[in-house]
Amino acid sequence: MGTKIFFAAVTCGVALVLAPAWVAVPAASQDSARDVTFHKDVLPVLQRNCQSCHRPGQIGPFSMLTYKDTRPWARAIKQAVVTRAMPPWYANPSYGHFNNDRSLKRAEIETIAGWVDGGALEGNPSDAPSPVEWPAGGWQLNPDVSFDLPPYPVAARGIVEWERVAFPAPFKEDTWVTSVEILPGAPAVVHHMCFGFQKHLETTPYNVYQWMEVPRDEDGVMKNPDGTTTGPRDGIVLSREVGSTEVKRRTGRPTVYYEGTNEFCYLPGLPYEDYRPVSAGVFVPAGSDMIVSLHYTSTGLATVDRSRIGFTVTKTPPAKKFLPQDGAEGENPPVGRRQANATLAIPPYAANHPGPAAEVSFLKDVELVWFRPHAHVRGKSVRYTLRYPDGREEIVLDVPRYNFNWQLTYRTSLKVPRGSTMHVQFFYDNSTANKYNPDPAKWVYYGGQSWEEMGTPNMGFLIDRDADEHDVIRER
Amino acid sequence: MNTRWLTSILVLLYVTVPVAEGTDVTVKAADGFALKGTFHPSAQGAPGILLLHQCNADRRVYEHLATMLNVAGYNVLALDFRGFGGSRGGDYKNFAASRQRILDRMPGDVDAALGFLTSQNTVNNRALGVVGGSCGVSQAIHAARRHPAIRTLVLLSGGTDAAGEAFIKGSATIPILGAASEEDAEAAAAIRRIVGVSANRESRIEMLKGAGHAASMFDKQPELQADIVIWFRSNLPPAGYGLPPAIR
Repeated sequence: MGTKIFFAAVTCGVALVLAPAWVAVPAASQDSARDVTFHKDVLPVLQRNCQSCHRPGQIGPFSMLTYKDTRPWARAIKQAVVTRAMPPWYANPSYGHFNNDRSLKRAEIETIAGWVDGGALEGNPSDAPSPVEWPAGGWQLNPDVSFDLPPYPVAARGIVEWERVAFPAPFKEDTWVTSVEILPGAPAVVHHMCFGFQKHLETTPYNVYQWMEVPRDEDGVMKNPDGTTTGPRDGIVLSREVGSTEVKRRTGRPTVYYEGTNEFCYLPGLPYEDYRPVSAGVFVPAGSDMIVSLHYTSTGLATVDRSRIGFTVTKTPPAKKFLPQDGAEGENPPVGRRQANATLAIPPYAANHPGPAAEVSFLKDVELVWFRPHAHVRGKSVRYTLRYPDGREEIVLDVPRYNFNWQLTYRTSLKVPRGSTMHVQFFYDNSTANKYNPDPAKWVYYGGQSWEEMGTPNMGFLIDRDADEHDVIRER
Repeated sequence: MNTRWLTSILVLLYVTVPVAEGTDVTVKAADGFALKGTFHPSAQGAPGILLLHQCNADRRVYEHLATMLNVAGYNVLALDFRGFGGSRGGDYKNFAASRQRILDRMPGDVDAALGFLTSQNTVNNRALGVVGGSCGVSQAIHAARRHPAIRTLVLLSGGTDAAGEAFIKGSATIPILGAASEEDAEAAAAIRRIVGVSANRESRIEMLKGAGHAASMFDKQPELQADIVIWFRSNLPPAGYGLPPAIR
């Protein structure tokens, strides 16, 4: 019988995308390499840390399921792990403790390096651990319920504003959602895909994409950046029914909007959200709607996205409920972000520009369970500093080399006492040294498109199942 | 992307013989000459990579690399320069006999190949890469000079001229992976020079020993191919935020 895969126990992420590393580990010596074989020594490491992404149908550029699959890539694997470019993990190890830390242990790196240095021997197949039973259908999780989003055509060119669309939640009864995975159909064009649940409103139409008109200049830059994205405010509302190309236009407020915060998201490099290991979930009353926020980016090639959402659910209420914090001021009360985003203005060629810091105040005791800092192509680094009520300060997450291709969630368990504040500071690289910088000669302002910038200090919290989720945190 | 160079080139595709690891195609050059190539389409929209062979071989030296790149998500076109492989005919039956005329035609033939690649409906024509071996090195560099959609280069055992070098010096946004074998002294020195003048801080070199010349190095150092695939995944991402948005 093969090894079962349990959600958080498996890290997703040895897709070999090289990235800078701040800790290099010396290669193993020839002496230590002599008896290292694939089946006995290396395969267990790959199963634990690599195969979730390095298997057919996943993001990794090649499979690591078998010796035959892996052997041609041996030298590249060694290079990636020795430099700590892989697995992707960007938290400075000097700060915080993260229970989904993907970085390999020194002994694991030495095993792989020793195997490669010793000739990448196959060894005896009888030494191999049982193969992992990976979920079918491309999932990382085994969903109990799945939902197919309607096909979304993304034009080859143009600007696609953030859109929202409502569907009836795919649950007939009161349900606790304990994990969610969003599988993008066309990852090249999906910038984000987030959603939350809320009680159905009579005014909410189903199967209608809605978005706000955003005045932009010829370079696509928002003309009046106000530090928000597409909240439910007055303006020109555009809409299109699912399956139709006809765009309707009216003045007013959108009728598809979400009063809470996005509870689940897909971002590049973010595989899934799973609250089973911490006995938590999100309660979805029967008859709820699923409000999906879509952000597509045209890349030059017309594409049709067919994304899917998978859920694990339980009827048994878990001990805790999950409470996210993200979104911009005014969009998602009561935990909307207050950050002077409207003042974000990154000068041309600035190599290390500080953005407006976020300050988050905690009004009750909470358990902080994840960080998910979000910036765009010019994001360079980010640091979260917690100030306790007694004045003590602690750096709880430091990402010195932010990589926008890997929008990682850093899972932790941090008890935050009432009266604490979190200070979150992003820095940006608008210089020519940033290879993803589309134009270092331009000023860059806040906005939802990838050529604009953000500095969103997303965090996730757990509170007791029956606690009032309002007034937990406040930002300023 | 500048569309003028695309529209100025007549590019016709004739699907001829399907092969196991790609489809044989014909690319019509500006003068009407039929260039042969092998095209590996990606399963879904992705960047395109052009493989330019050395002048003592033909596109078959890239068979395995092309498959690996394709499996890793890329559209790949391996081209036979005229006078080589399947692109022999008319006045261009072999390289030795028509050397200068073939070299003179190479830039246009590379443009035709890029035109073919970017006209495919699975290719993101704003995200391209080129691999060049030996005499293909300078062609790859000059192709990047002409086509801003080329975002990274892999250069094997070859050099370039002053204009190519000046372009590399001034191109901070084009990372280069160079590779050569130590005993292939002239080629190794040329690659060292190119990578050395590169303005991109991520450019790097793989200097091998006893490996041979250009794509022939794959025989003795097969993992160089894996390194090339990883290079492209790092510098020409097929998904994520790494693809430049197409606003207009």
